[in-house]
Amino acid sequence: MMRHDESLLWEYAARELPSEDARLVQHHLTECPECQEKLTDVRTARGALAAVKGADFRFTYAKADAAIARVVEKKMAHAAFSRPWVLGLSGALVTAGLLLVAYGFWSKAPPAPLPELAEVEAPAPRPLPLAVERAAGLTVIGAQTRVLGNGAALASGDVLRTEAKGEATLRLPEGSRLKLGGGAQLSLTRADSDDVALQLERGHLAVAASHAQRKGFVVHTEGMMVTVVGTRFAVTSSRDGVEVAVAEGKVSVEPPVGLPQFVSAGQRVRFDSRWRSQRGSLTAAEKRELSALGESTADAVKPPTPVVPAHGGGTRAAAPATPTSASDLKSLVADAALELAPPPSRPADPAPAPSKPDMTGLEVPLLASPVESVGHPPAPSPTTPGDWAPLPAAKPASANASKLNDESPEESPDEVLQRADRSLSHGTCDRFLKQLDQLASDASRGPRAEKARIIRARCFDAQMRVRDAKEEYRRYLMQYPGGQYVDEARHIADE
Amino acid sequence: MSAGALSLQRVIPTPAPPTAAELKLMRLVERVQQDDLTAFEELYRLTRDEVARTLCHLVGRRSDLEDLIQETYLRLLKAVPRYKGQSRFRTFLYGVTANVALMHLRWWRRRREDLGDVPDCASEGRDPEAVAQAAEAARLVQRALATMSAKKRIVFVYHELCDMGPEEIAEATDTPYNTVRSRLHHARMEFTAAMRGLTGAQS
Ligand SMILES: [Zn+2]
Repeated sequence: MMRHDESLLWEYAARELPSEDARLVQHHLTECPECQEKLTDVRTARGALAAVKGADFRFTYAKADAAIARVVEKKMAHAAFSRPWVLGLSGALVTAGLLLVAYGFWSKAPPAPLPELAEVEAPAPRPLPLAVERAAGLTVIGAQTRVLGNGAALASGDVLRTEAKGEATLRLPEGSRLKLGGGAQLSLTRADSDDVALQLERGHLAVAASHAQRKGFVVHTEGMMVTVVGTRFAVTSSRDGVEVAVAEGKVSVEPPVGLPQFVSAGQRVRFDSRWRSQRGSLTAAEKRELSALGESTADAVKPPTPVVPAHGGGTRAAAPATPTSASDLKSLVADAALELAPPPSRPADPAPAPSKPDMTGLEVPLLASPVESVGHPPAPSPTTPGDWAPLPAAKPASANASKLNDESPEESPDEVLQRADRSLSHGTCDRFLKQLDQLASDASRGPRAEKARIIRARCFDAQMRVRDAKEEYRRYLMQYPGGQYVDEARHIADE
Repeated sequence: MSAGALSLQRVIPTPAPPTAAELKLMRLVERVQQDDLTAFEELYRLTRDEVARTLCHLVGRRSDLEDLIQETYLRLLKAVPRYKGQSRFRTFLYGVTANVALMHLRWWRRRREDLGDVPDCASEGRDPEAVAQAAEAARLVQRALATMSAKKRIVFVYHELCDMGPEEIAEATDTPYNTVRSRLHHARMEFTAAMRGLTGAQS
């Protein structure tokens, strides 16, 4: 019955046979030269398979990687866009989070549209502190919402919001300046000395990018990605669409649907809510705004701008807080932090600064109630009001958005945890890392601190920051050896 | 009486309990199911080597292998909502991969494409001699596999090169267990015969 069964020989060679059958085959083999030969064939065949199995396999995935990234990006953009606007706000975040990922990925590939710098300046300047230069009605939102005054320090991950009539000028570590219009919300997703990623959730943002060499400078809004190639531009996001205006250099604009395009100096492009684009030229107001913003960015050697104090408590745009060099800015910020009288680096200021409320605005957050401290909008200046609202639609947008976000600037820890948790699945959790850390470090918060720690760990995991994730899970295990998420934490920490 | 008709005991080990890697995949799948597509990219990165290698064994190293990898993941993305954890995710993924390979192999057959000299699926290692040997083995294996029908090839590759048991293959390819066994049985004989022919012709 066992005669000449080749298939059994394979099973015999593979040790798949029950011992009884194996003995029968073995016995048959002793008396059948034909099967002995066949067994040799089987062993040869299996040997070749083993060699193939053990061989290294290397494969390049350039094409497949790109295709997958494209599909994922498209799908997310589509998801973001097919929702009604109110949801679209968070939908845009989904896309932005993904685009960030995709962007980082692309920048490794050779054909990637790496943001070329218009000019490269050497040597790289020292990183400046990330700080508010000048602000009115600016708050950082999160677990501890607080009002920010002139000179206030900021950190990567901060989410900033301006009141309807507020505005703010910020300085990034790599020297760029940002101006945030009223009723705007901006996440400083990444503001490193060599890499900048911003998320404009609504409102108007003007950028005067420095010439510093960096990995990238991107602004995300409503699922669109604006990559800085040149230097001065503005982005306005409203429910009616997104507008990008460029005063100097060039930006690459990638809408979630359709082809990427460049917008060059003097041009503006406006996307409607269906991402149909329309081109035009820069308005005079935009030109003024961007040139004012750019002056103090690019011209480190320029003599101090004379300060023309505006009437009343108004702050003349940019002047008092405009540093003339990196070191000036440093001292300015340092002074501001000490809430002293006007920095000594401006002795030439014709402004009788100390007595002016606008000059001491930085003290206010410490004295006044959290919400209404630096509440005055700046007095009309040559560049207002048109500059802050090139898109009339921006206002309704913020008004509308306020239903979603603005009503309670003070978010409770539970709200933060909830939003952070939700953001995990949207790829946007990095915006909450800082708040989560604050919550997690506050042991008095008990289970909330634990939750914050675990969400933070999950966030790193979701962002594929493997080392950070492991680190965070280890911290969790140390803090909560008997905690609720120990299995999960061990699983990742030990991986 | 042939061995195919023997009711063989299932001594091939059943799949081990989910490993840490498998659990991680499950978590990613859950996130994809909640529309978190960043998780899908991660899933892709974690599994693409296995998928590429498997596809290579299933269809040979063709210039369009990357297209098949893409196709596999596009289908996976569509299929993920259907996955309810009924099987290991790896099994599910192998099922999708098998379908892509099957379509492709049928298409090639319809085109009566001459397989010619099939390039191998292995690649360079450190020891040149071992590399040469592995390359030769891979070339032979590819040629022998190319003689098989698509369905037999899938079962054979999954069992002999991907360490899948017949139960798992049955589950992945949605085929009765006995059919899998029978295909494996025939595939082994065909493979041995093909290898005999190839090595005999050589020496
Ligand atoms: Zn015999």
